[in-house]
Amino acid sequence: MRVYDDIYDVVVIGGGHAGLEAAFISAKMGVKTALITLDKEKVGLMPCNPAIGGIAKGIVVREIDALGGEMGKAIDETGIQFKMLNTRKGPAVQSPRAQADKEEYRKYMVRKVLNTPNLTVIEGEATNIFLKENKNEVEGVEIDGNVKIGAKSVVVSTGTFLDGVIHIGDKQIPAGRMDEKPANKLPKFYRDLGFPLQRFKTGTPARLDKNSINWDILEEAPGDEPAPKFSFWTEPYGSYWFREGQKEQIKCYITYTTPKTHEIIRNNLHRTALYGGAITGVGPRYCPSIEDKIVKFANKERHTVWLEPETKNGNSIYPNGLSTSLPEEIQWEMYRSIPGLENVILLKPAYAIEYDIVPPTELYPTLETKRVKGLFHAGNFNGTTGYEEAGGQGLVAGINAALRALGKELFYLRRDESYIGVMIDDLTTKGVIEPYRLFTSRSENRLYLRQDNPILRLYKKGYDLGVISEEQYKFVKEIEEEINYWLNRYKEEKTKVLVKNEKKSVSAYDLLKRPEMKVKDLKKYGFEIPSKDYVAEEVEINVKYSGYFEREKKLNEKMRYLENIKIPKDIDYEKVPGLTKEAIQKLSKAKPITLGHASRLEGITPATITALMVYLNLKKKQKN
Amino acid sequence: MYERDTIVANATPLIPSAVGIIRISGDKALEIGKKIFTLPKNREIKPRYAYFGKITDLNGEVIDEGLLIYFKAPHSFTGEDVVEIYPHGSVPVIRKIISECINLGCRLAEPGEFTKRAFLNGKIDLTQAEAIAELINAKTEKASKVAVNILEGKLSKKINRLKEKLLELISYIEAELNFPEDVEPIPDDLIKQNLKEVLESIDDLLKTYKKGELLREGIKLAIVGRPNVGKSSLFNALVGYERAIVSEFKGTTRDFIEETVSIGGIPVRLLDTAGIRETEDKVEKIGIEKAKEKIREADIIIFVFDISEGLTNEDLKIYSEVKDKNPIVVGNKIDLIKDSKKLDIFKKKYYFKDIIFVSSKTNLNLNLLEEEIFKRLGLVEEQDREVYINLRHYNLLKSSKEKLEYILENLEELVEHKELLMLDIREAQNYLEEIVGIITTEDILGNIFQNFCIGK
Repeated sequence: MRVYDDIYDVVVIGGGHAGLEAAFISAKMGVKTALITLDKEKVGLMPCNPAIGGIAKGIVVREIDALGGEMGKAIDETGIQFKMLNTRKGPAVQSPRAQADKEEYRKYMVRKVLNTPNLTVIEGEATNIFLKENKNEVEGVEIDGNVKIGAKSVVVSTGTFLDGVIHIGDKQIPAGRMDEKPANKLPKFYRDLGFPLQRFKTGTPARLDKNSINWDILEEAPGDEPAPKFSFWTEPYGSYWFREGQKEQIKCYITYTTPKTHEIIRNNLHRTALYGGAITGVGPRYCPSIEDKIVKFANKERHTVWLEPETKNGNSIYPNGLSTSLPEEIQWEMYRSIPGLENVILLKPAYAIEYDIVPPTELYPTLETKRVKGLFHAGNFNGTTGYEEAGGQGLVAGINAALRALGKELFYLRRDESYIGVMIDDLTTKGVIEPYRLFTSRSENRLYLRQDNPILRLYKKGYDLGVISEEQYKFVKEIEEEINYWLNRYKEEKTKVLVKNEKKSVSAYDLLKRPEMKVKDLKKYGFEIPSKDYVAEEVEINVKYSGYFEREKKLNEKMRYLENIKIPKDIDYEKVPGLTKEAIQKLSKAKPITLGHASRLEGITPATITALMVYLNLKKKQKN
Repeated sequence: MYERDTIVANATPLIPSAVGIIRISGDKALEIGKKIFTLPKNREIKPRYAYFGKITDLNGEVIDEGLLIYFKAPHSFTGEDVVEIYPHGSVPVIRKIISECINLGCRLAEPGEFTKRAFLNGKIDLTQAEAIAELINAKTEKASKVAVNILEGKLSKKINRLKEKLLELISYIEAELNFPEDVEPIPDDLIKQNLKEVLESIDDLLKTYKKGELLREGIKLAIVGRPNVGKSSLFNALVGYERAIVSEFKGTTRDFIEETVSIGGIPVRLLDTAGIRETEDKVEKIGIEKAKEKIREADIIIFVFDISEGLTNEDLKIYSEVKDKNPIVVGNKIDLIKDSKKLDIFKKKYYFKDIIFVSSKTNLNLNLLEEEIFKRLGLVEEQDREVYINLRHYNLLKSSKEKLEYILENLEELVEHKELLMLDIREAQNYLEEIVGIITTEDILGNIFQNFCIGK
């Protein structure tokens, strides 16, 4: 084996959406970073849906952006259709989503990877991770079984590659993604160290030939104008919206499954990998295959299918909602039973993939493993699904890998400040029984964790970490001050308004509280309005939701209280009075870092938390 | 508050009795038990067996003899190792044993500390902990039955069912918020219907508060009527012995007489009021004023008249004063009526809907009167299923109810902002959670457990 003198501060294994964010942010934090990938032309690939964002996920992308990540910028540049979802409901449950030109997205990432200072790309397979002698601490990474490089910390973000197996009906092919070989060596490292491994599965639909679809009979689904963007820093600088007409957008189309589609699937259920028994891994309940939908929602007469172009000018179409593990010949028959697809040609068949994950309960909320110092996990390898979820974890893992290499205190995001925090807390406290996806319902602070304010929520943290520039920091700080200025001013400025035939003095603030009232309407009442659109938008949302924030906060007060009580790392649960043996075992294994963290662990009762709380208070008193 | 030390206390009151119980709970319970309790032939102590032996002090001197039972954790009341010692119920003996236990490293338990440990160890939930306190303090058979129902988790079950119902609704709406492209919105009517159902169940539970309070505190029952219609003899008949002064002369009962009796397991505070009438007698006037005040406070009023004399104007005047409180109308001295047909005349002639004819002299039909009292209190349901809520439950349920009512009133607007609707429903649900103690702060705990006597 050749051993290189090169010692990297951070080595990232895998160039998917998690690995990329980890590598970029680590390099941005000024530490020497290496990215190991099987094929440097395939970083940032979108193996499934050619889209970024969606409910809750879109918010995560903006959070990644607020903490110096890349995903938002990439999609803003390469997106071909942009939408704000849930616009008929309040801003707290809205979320941006964009169709990507997946080729352009990939190329963007390849360019970025090759042109980032402090970042080296190494092509090859990471086959082992070396630990320091007699210590549970990383020392280096083995590449292709014959090269060793040094590493102070390692981020593993191998997605679906570990012992990956693709299923197409009853056919099975070992693969990490379609036409790519799996990583079969690294699982041994985990097994040898006693890490448990879980088997997960996910699937993707066939790709259709654009020229074989009868577009004329299909329903159009255009993008929004103005279009929402993901990065606060792309043109126009300091906004979450593109200028009117700035983005050229393509159209997507809608069609529906038919009774015939359902019949074909029912008749061939035994030949699907899932129902035929070939797949033993657990699939995502929330992103079900079409056979799942037909079995589980037997009464539903039709299911919606969105036809989404994978690139702007290419001829590959992604039929969203039609992932399946049927054999290829049945897939042809099934797709062709759908209006508009009568003569469709499949460019690539649909497939399901099974792969190994390490349960995320093996991790601290910093995404460092509890077993090995300096070893971090991120992305699908932690049992999540979605590019955005992966990106968010990659960012946190990358930041902490860099901090670890620098010998600094690690960082984590709280549930009440970001969806990334919600996700990582869920993952590390509850573990996963199926691929994890974010929803707004997973947060108890939904009214605060909105799509419109990630930059305001996180810019200070980003600045402290050094991933947000001085200029950006000042820019946001000024905006924040302006928002507060207008909120106060509107409380004080009053005008006479007719209320039930009576002239009454009403503040601008109270006027704005009315459901139909917008900031720009205040002009008509003689009030000045903020010059910056973003400030106006935030003022409006803050006024409309005022009162509700307080209630949401109050509802979560008890939890926040628990969140702020840290559990010392060296706590001996055996010594805590009143704990059952079962609780002692669970807590010792899970190593929660706060009482809030502990309270969310499976099988931990409120009584246990109370006992812990009493004990920790007592300890504190004794110290004083 | 406490370390994981071993605590000791008497589980029976410190009064001379045949047997007393001393309870020890904690890691050292068995060790300490073995030190002060000598088994013949040094037998091993197995859990859940009763052993007879000698209780000795540190010097080996015998204090008493009695039984010992060992409950191994977690299969004990507190969830910890528990040893119970049963000496004779002599106060000095019990005191001596406890002080020996303290010498051996026990700490005297705080009031309610055993139950608190049971709660902290997950053996019982909050409503059950409260039920234990109520069971201990129960003054009547009925109150103890209800406490047992709650102890068995019947209230928790009801609350949990409501919580689940709200959760189901929350899941539907969340699905709509999170899958706007796949999930049809839940019809507004269905939201309304679900909320109403929960509201109704909360109302049913709220109603039990009054009953529960009556059960714990007893009811106040006032007997009113013109002098000498037999109020006091009716009072005595209900009490079961002669207490009030019964006199042939009008106005003997000055002000009022109070007595607590048990009617069907419920404490009833009977008030025999002075006859309400116009009088110049100053002393009697004061009595009459007091009587009127008592009448206003009473939960139930019995209006008595003398059927042998018929309804007089004075009777009607008194009746009109208490009419608002929907009194039970009693025609007394039925023993003086020889011809039962005469009674029908009363029914037709006067404007009362129901009259109960009794004889306070022969106790005839007193059972009918008792039944009527029960009915008025709404205490005729099947006792096995009854749970009565306490003030803490009442306040939380009421807050939940108010939230739900607010939602229903503003539903039209709220369905346009389902993210806000969710917040409202979550708040309503949160109050319900607090009842069973999903999240409890130390304050609430302290409050609940300080109502205990030592030893529980």
